[in-house]
Amino acid sequence: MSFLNAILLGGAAAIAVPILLELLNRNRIKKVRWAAMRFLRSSVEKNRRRLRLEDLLLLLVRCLLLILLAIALARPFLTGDTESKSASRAVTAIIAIDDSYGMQTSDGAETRLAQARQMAEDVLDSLPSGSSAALYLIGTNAEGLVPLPTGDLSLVRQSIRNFSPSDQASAALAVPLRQIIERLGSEEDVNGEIYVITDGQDLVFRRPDQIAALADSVSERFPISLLLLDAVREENLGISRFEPDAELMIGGQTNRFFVEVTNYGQATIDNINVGLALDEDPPSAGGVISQLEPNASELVSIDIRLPEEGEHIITASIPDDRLATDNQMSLAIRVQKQVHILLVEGRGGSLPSEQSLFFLREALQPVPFAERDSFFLQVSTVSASDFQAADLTEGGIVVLSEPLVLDTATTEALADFVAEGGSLLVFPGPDVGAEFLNTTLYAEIGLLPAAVTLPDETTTTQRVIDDQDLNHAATSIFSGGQAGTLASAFFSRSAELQTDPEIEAERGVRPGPISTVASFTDGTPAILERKFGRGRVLLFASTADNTWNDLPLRAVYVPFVHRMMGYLVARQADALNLSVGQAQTLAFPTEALDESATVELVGREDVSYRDVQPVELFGERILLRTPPLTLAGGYLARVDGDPPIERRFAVQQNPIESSQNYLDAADYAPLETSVRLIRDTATDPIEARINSLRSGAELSRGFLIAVLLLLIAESILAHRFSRSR
Amino acid sequence: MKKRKPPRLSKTSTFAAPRRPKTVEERLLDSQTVGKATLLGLMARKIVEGSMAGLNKSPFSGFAIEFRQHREYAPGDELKHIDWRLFGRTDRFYIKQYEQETNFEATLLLDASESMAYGEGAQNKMEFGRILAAVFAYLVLMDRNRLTFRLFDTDARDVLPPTSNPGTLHNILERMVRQEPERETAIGGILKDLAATLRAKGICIVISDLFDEPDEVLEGLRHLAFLGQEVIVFHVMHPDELEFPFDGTVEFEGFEVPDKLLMQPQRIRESYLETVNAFRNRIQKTCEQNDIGYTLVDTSKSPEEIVAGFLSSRAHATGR
Repeated sequence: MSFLNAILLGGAAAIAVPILLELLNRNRIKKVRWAAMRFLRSSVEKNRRRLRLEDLLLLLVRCLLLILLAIALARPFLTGDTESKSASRAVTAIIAIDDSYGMQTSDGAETRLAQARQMAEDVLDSLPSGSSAALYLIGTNAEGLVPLPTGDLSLVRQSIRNFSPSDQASAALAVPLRQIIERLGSEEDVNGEIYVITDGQDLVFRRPDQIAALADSVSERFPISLLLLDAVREENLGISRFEPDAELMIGGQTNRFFVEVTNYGQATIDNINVGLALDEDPPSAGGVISQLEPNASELVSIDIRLPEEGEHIITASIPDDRLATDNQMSLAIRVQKQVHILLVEGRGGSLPSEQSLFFLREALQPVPFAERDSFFLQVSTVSASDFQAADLTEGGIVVLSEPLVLDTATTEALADFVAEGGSLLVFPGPDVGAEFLNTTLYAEIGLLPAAVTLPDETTTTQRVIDDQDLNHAATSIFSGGQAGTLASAFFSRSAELQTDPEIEAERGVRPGPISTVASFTDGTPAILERKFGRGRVLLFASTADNTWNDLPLRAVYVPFVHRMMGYLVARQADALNLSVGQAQTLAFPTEALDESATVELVGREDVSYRDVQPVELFGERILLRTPPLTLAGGYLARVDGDPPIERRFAVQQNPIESSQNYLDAADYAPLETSVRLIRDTATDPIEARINSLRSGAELSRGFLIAVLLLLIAESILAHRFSRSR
Repeated sequence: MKKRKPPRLSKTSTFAAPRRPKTVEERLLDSQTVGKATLLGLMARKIVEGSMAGLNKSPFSGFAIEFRQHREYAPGDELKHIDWRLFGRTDRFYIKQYEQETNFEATLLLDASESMAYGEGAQNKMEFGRILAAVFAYLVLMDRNRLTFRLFDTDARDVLPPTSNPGTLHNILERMVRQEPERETAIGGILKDLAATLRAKGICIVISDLFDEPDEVLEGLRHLAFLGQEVIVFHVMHPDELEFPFDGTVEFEGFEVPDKLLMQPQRIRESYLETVNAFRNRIQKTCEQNDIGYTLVDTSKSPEEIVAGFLSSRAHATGR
């Protein structure tokens, strides 16, 4: 057994006190001259043994009481289950605080994050002198505020007190834990105790088997303790969905937005006001949800008149409650007067009608020639051989038809263009450079969703598009023959679009998922889509003109083309809307190059963000890149000038974090053998609990109980022995 | 014998604060106590009975017994002694008391050992003993009986020659008061020595706390009784010695022996009382077995109560 406050063992010397008192009290002894001494002496002799035993017993009880009290104050403990055999030996603590936005829930007095900060400080307070600590925030990922253990605990303490909250959603705990362990595990000399401070939301404990397996694998080097806040379900309304009704935002017109509000609490809420605000203005439109029961959601539509073209922030909001983060959600929209489409023509031909994109061009602007300049779709054409990166405008649409080959710089610029939010449509044809498409655009860059196998020149087919079950957002409107019959077009020739699983398995980050926009009735893909960075690529199996098919000759062609454009334009605006934790890349015009841009969170009063970043040249593009943004809301990126250059974008929180589902004690069973669970209770301070777990079972309480029992025994015995006998 | 009137006593209560120093009479002979004692009278019970031996039934026939005085009738008195003539005159009942033809000898032994010094004020054992001794000395001398008075501790002190002169009472009282309790007790030996000196049968009154070896005390008393003396024992004890009411932490220091005991008295109270009561009961029982009169004198009571109680019960026993 060892002691946490060994110096207090000296208190055992307090047994001298009763002896001193006895000596002092001698002056208070009554003296009586007594005549019947023989009788008194006789009685004393008869009872001598009993008296002596009683006195000894009382003395023993009193001395034992003092000794036990001294031991209790010295806080004895049995050696615990960590390598630290002595409570006084320095330890390394790695503190990981859950800073998902659910932690900002308030109980009316303080937020859980405030409680977590205090708990983190309690962990620091429990450390013996000479200890070191590291500090991480865990939400979607692990962020190291003090990534490596330091003996400067005041630095750690300041970091605990000063870090800004985030609007991240919780990831399964194993993810950020693994990141922390990998980070620290690479440092040879680092061993420590990991303390995870969280409110116990079920999102954190998805896949408890992974958490347990991870904890077991590092239990020797990094034993893990879970410090659980005493969280209960609070009354909370949150905005769970916010989207526009139309994909094209046309300036000067009224547009409709849908706002879904969910009741995450336990009480029915009446008369919920939902407001819509444009940019930094106060709400100018709104709706009311008359009643919302617990665990129910309701959609309200609100119309708002949009200003002229430009990037804008629409913010939906509901009244304040215990969790502020989900009381608003911002959406960045691009109000456009016109959409620019660049047609890159790969086929030669002196006459426009000989070019592969002739029909497409005409379909894109189905208005009289005199009206084309004012039509919202603006089209420009360049030959593939003249196509350069400079032709790419940020946020535009590029149609690449039958390219033979593009130079490397242009190809890379094209890939960057798409990655930063641009859209690309690719049409094969008899003169297309298959090698360029398959080797460069598909295999190497991953821009295309599939490799293209051109049809045999002698082979003809009669394929039609299967329009009975169109599920893709771009073509679902045509499903079942609505808005026109895609199945009316015949495809006499079409390329085989094939993905290579081996190539797909080794893709990097930018090539995103592939989806089928439309298929032929034989099941082979007619149109594939790949998400590439923030942009999208549509790959067609047949020509843009009527060389291999008669789609351009069908009545459905114009609405189909416009639908494709509308879909792509809407997806381009997606680049303006990030999820919490993502970084933003914004293109700026040439005049902003080498200037500083201020990136600021606007429209929120509970938190603030302001950062300055340079506008730099990346390859051939002038871009502003922000660090990962952890706060939800509308942002304004501004380069001062005359006039100033402004870009707007929005960051949305994941509404799943608003759900208040907490694990019961039984739910932690899979973790109990792998991690130590410490719950925050009012009667059992965290510091003491950690000390007892670190140093073993603290025995103070047992000794104090023994002292109390001895006190009672002493009182009873003293009373009994002093009775008349 | 001529009836003599008792001498006039001061009517001042012994408990009243005198303006002048009290006389020994005033101190020791309270008028109420003495008055009651006088009325009850002290008779030699054994002599009376002894004189009954061989006589006819009437205890008074053939005996030159003179009427001495009347006393008020007390329940238990024999009706044959009621003076009916006086009743006819006064409508009240009175008993005739007779004077014996032969006076008796009385020996009065007062314990003056240091243990008698316990107690404060009126409860002081020595003072109480003096009062008892004074009353009995008065009763004996006023009836012209012979009185031998002895103060004792380890030895007999102040042995006055036997006297029947009432005028010697003052001297006797002076000797009582003068003697302070200072030495140890050796009552057993004193009684034996006394027994060796007594010739005539008489009354032997022992006033003592009897704090000596019980066997020796009892042997001494038995010795006296065996020799035909009518022994009367007044066992004087302070209420503290009888009840042991002490609490807290007390250091007891012996009177007669250099002994100290530090203790919490309540822890052995029961055992002490057991011991004291056993001692007392033994003395009492032995006295009863040997026809020795035994009276426990609790000094918390008044001397009047003790004396009247004793004399009254004695009067019943003697038929007077």
